Amino acid sequence: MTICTIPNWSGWANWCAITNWRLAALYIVLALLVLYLLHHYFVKRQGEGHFTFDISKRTPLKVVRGSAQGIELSCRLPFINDGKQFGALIDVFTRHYLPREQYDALEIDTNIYRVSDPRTEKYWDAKIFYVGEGEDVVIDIRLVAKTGDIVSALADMPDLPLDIFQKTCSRSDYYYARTYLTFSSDELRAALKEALDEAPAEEVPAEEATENE
Amino acid sequence: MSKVEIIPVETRILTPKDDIADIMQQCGKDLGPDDIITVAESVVAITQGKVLRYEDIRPGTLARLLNRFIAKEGSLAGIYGMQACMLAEGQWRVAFALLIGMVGKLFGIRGLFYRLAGDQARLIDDVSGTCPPFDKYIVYGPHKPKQEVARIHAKLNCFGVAIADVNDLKRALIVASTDGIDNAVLSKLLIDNPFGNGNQKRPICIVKNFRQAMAEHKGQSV
Repeated sequence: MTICTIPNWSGWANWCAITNWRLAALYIVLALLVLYLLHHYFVKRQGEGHFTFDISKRTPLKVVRGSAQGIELSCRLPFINDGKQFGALIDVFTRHYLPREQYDALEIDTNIYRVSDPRTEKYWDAKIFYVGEGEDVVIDIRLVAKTGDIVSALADMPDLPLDIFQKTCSRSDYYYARTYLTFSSDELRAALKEALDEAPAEEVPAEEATENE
Repeated sequence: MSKVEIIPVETRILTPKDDIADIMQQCGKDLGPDDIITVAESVVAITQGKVLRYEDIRPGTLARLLNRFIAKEGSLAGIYGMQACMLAEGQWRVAFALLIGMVGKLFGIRGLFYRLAGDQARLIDDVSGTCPPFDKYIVYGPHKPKQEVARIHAKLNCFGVAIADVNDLKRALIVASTDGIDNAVLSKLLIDNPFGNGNQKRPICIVKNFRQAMAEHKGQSV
């Protein structure tokens, strides 16, 4: 007669080994998850750089120079890094949207540059801005009448949409963003009127200058 | 004793199509036996083609994880700079160096990361670190700088050649120099950044009578 049964120790040890292995794997997974969540929280808290071009603070268009054929206008607006980290403005450029299907009387050219770094070749020198830093940019718009008469060319002109594109990078992937800007036809015509009213004597159209010589 | 004089040399923008040794040979025609010629490290790297655009880099998980722990002023604070460094020095080396650096900071030891992560961790310039058109590139430190100074020196009749990493923040690191140059003396001379930053296009500086400067420093005549 058997009084007591001898437990199957080898089976028990195997079971324990498997359980320990499972527990170890579970702990590793849990630790990785906690680390991931901590890093995710850290990244969220640390944040990113972010640039805002404040179109509400845009100055009115000012005439830089004008002639019978065309005018060159200019305005300024500020941008700021209002994010939580440094940010690099790698590239900034303008794009105007007035297709020939909509209006074909003008040649339009636009340019943007930082006040501290005036340029005419449309190059943007990449620069890092820390949190709260910013500057003013200047937007130049050159309108030249295809017919040679800027007054008539602007008479029926619609609004001029112009986007500011920025290639930005901070702690994460670089990205492109755009700021929408519209110059109303009234503002453009008012600027032209101002140019004509103040028409300086030295601003003589190219053909007339040649004739005078 | 002749006076030490630092003469910055203006050049056009140098590109990977240029050979820095040829450029320095042209600039250093009037060098004497006591003079040395120095060049900015980023320009040497550019002529070696050691530049990368963001678009050419695919940041990995480790770079995305670790760049967050670099101070905002560092070129490795972005994922592209970090990945560029990992490509050059090895991702596990950089990760290990960062870990040791963090532990070191806990014990008040600073700068361990940059000592352990390899030369490129110190020398990489992120975007905007170099003048246009390379402001949109990550620019590495020069490849095999010691061999490069020797190669340049072979084309010149002067006391020595050095590659320096100098900025306006009173940092003048001599990346490599030919034998005989006292890097501490040269670093002191270049501390006010005669190269000029940004768009000034002065990547080369001639130091006239450098040997005398070394002698003065050591308190002995040549």
